[in-house]
Parts: sequence; structure tokens; C-alpha cells
Amino acid sequence: MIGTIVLLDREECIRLLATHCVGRIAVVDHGRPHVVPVNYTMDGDAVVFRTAVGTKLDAASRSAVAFEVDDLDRETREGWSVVVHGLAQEVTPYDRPDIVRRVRSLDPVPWATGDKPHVVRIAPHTVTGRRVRRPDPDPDR
Amino acid sequence: MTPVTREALLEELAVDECWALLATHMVGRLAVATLDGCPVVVPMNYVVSGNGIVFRTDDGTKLRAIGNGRASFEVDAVDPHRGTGWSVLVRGDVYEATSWELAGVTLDAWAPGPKRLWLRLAAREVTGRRLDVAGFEPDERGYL
Repeated sequence: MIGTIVLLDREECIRLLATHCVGRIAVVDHGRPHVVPVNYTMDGDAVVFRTAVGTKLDAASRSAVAFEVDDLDRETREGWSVVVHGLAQEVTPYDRPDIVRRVRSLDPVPWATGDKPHVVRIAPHTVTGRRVRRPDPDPDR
Repeated sequence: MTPVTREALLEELAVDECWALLATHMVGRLAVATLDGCPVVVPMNYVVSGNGIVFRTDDGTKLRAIGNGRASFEVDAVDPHRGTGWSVLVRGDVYEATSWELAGVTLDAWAPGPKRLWLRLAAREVTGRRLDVAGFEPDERGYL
């Protein structure tokens, strides 16, 4: 059974992003797309995550990225997904002081131990989302 | 600060285990590059077929904008409360599937739309990680 799609407005997308903590960031590195899961937190409408030196996520500093979060139920086949397109930029002491202060106070918690000195912030350009709904409840449920 | 060794936290999965995990799931995220080199990522329901992944999509989606055919596909199952789970990455080339490649393949679309286009991602590289207690983060290779 095929569901219906509802487009989500930006405000709803940001609200949904704030309810989760694992997303997937896609970058293009020398023409090759790369997608990895990261844990993240939100700074208003911006996505913030930590990364280590020398990762492929280096391609994510000062470049266009796509960031995706979803919550899809395989039983009901309902759920939502949100995609942020924007410019990823490492937060450094040379950034605007209000951003540095805010991001430091957020301190996106690295779940794993190890040195993750780089904090990357995605300034959103577009934020889009979709929700898939079943047209009718399944009669067997 | 002495970092805890990642070996204690992250177990690299064998290729056959990656394929077995891929077969247990139905939704992943496909990342491609547009012609102008921008990344696009979309959740897709999928089915494993041979050494590849098959998707259905509409003609009009952004995936039509696939630049060089390179693609990266990610599937994960993470419990954020316990900090456990796994992720698998499939990298390769995505192209419109031929009818013989689709023989015996069934894939229901979750979302509406004509879904006229059948895509297949031929795997060049399949890697995966299982994470233990204490959390997860991309390692130096950039994934869990």
C-alpha cells in the first residue's frame, strides 16, 4: 500500500531535527560522494557536529554538504525525513564571537572517546522535509 | 588525555556480514554528486540484488541529476540511548537497471509517485562497523 507525502515547512523540519541526535552527512570529495552517520546537535537552525583531523569529513569544512535525518517505521511504513543543504564550516576562534560562544556552550557531545577537536557547523541554505502517511489504517492492525 | 582504543569500541565487519545486515533492512540513504559537484542525499527503500542494491525512483527526482554515476549508500541501526549499533556503507556506480538485472526483484514503493526508474548500485566497496557500548563516531576513515 502506497502512502501519501506531505511536505514539511522549514519550521517543522527544524523542530524534527532537534528531536534526534544521529544523522548522515553527505559530502563530495574529488567528485566522489560520501555519506557517513554522525551524531549532532542543533544551534538554532544550524547543525553542529564534531570530527577528527584527517577524516573524509575534512571535505565538509567550507564546502557544500547535504545532511539527512529520518525516522521511518518499517512496520507501518510511515515516517519523515529532513534534508539540510548548506555550507559546512569549521567553527574556529576567528568566527563571529556569538557563534563561537553558542557552539561552545552546546558542545556537541562526542559519543566516542578520542580526539575530535573540530567542530563543524552547517549554515543551512535550504531545509526540506517530507512525511509519508498511510491513507487508511491497515485493517489487520 | 589518553584516547580509548577504537578497537575496543568499533568492530569492523566482514563483507558477508555487511551483506547480511543490508538484507535485514529496507531503508538507507543514497548520496550522489550533482553535475556541479554538490552532494545530494535521499532516503530510499531498497532491496539487495546480487552484488548490488536496487532502488525505484521517479524520473523527476534529483537523482536524475546524478553527475558521474558515483554513489555512496548508507544503512545503519543505532540505538542512541545505549550507544550501540552498526552501519554499512556501499560505494560504487549507480545506473539505470536493465531488465535482466531486475529479473526476480520485487520492491514495493513506500512513497507515492510513478517510480518509473529502477536504479542499481553496483558495489565496488562494502564496509561496515559495529559499535559497542561507549558510543560511536566516525573514525579516521569517516564512518562509524
